[in-house]
Amino acid sequence: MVPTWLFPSIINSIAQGSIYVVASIGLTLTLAVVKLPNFAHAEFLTVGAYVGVVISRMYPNNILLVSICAFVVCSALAVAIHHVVYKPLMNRKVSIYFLVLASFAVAQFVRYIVFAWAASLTPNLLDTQQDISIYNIVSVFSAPISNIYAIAIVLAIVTSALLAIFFNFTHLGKSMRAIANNFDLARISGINVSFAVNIMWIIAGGLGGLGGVFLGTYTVVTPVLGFNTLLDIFAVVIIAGLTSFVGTIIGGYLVGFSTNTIIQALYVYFGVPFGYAPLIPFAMIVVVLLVKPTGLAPNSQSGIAFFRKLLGSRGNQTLNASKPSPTPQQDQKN
Amino acid sequence: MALLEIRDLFAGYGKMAIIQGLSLSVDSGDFVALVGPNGSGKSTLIKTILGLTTIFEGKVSFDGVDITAGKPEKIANMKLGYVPQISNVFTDMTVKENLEMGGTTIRDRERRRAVFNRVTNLFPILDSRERQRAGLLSGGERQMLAVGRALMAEPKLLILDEPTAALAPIVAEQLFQKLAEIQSQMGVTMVLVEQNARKALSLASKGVVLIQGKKAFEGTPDEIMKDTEIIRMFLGELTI
Repeated sequence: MVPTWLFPSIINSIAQGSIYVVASIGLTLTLAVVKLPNFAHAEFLTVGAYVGVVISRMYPNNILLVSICAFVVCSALAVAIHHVVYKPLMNRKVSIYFLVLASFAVAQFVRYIVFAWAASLTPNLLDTQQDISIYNIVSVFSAPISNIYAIAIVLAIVTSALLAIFFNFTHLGKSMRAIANNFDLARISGINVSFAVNIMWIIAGGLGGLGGVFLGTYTVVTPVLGFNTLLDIFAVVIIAGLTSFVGTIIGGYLVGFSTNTIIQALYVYFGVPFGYAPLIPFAMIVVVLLVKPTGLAPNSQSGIAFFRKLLGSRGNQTLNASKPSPTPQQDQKN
Repeated sequence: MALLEIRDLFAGYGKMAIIQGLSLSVDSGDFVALVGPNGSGKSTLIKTILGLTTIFEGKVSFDGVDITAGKPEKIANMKLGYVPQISNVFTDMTVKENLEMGGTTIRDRERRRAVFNRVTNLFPILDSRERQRAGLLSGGERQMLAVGRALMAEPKLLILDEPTAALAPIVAEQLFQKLAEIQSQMGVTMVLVEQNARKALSLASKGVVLIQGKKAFEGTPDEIMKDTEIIRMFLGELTI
């Protein structure tokens, strides 16, 4: 007998996993291309969610317009942060530790700017919601699927497919993979690294903002929305082995299931309270790092061959599957 | 006018100058063998030309343009090809994608296709392995891919940093033959950094001996092989 909670929970897991995929792919890209564990990535989610609040109040229920605006604003924010903070530091060839600390500082700065702005409004927007209606559009095995969940699932699939095409069939996408694989060789091959890195930030920031919009549709939007999701996002990319695109998809759904179906099963069968849900991604990070630090991405030849066949690609779907190459800073030092 | 002109160069890493006041000129059509013992600064000199080290003093110009401390990607766009000693292919990408990345600087698609065909004709093994991941190639195949990747940019000057290091002698010999073929048939000017000095000098039109970051000798390979001091210090007693 299938328990009644199972199907709705699976639907929730898939939908939330889809949002995690969209929100995390940008961080995976950042790690792969510029080797930066960007802790400010979570703030793209916060800014995206607030763009959703502002735009949806002017144009209620227009999720397409909200998504486009969030993508544009967060892309611009990401490029600005790169040029104002990260690029000057990288040009000075500082160590990765300084860059990580800088990303913490950027995160705090953006968070408190958002906080100050939200608090300055009357009424304030410190604890608010987007003006986007959520309603059920279909039921699968008596489990309702809301409009937002359906869009999030489709968005994750479309985003993944478009990125797969981009990385495997366009020169710019291949250039990004080349930079991720061997930074110095990419430079001396004449690849326009600056341009490719700018595009990378546009994609990373934009997708972070999109993730924030969808996260903000079913949760309360606060200046710490992204910060509260930071651990989940890092769980996704650690499961992904930090730089694997396919691994990010797997990681997104694993974290989605862990914070929904798994915690619900633990509650039903062992009485574990739902309040322990945030511990599961943390536990997953620890377990993955201890057991398989390279992540759960299918980096065996059979796995890669499977995805190549699936996508009709001649390239490797993984951005940087075999081994982490030196950081640009390290490369420049050598 | 020399294709590559280096004047009074002091360069290195951090604050340490490894190249100590070196001057060198390479003319179009030259095949220069850059030889010297380990730690003599051969690789540092090459990386300096490519914009990958710190220049303290001096000037580097290529094809009449000052490229001193220029950005590597801009220098590559000036048709200066480079085959590094290690990490010289994109291991996670296929052979074909590696060659495509090498041809980044050629904007015209038809022209890129033509160069691709020329390179795969030169190295037929790359054509048969075009869908294989570069990281799975053998050492010799990988070096051929590295040379092919550099040739995709149709370089006026090709700099190779110990391309035969860690290769089996028979494979190294095949690669040397290919380099000679590239130089004679494609007219590419070459600077070859090589530990196997005798072999490099046998192919070259000019030899440069580097010792402790300074140019110890420059001349024809015959002149170098007749210099008893150089032979005693560096090449050993055997003669070619």
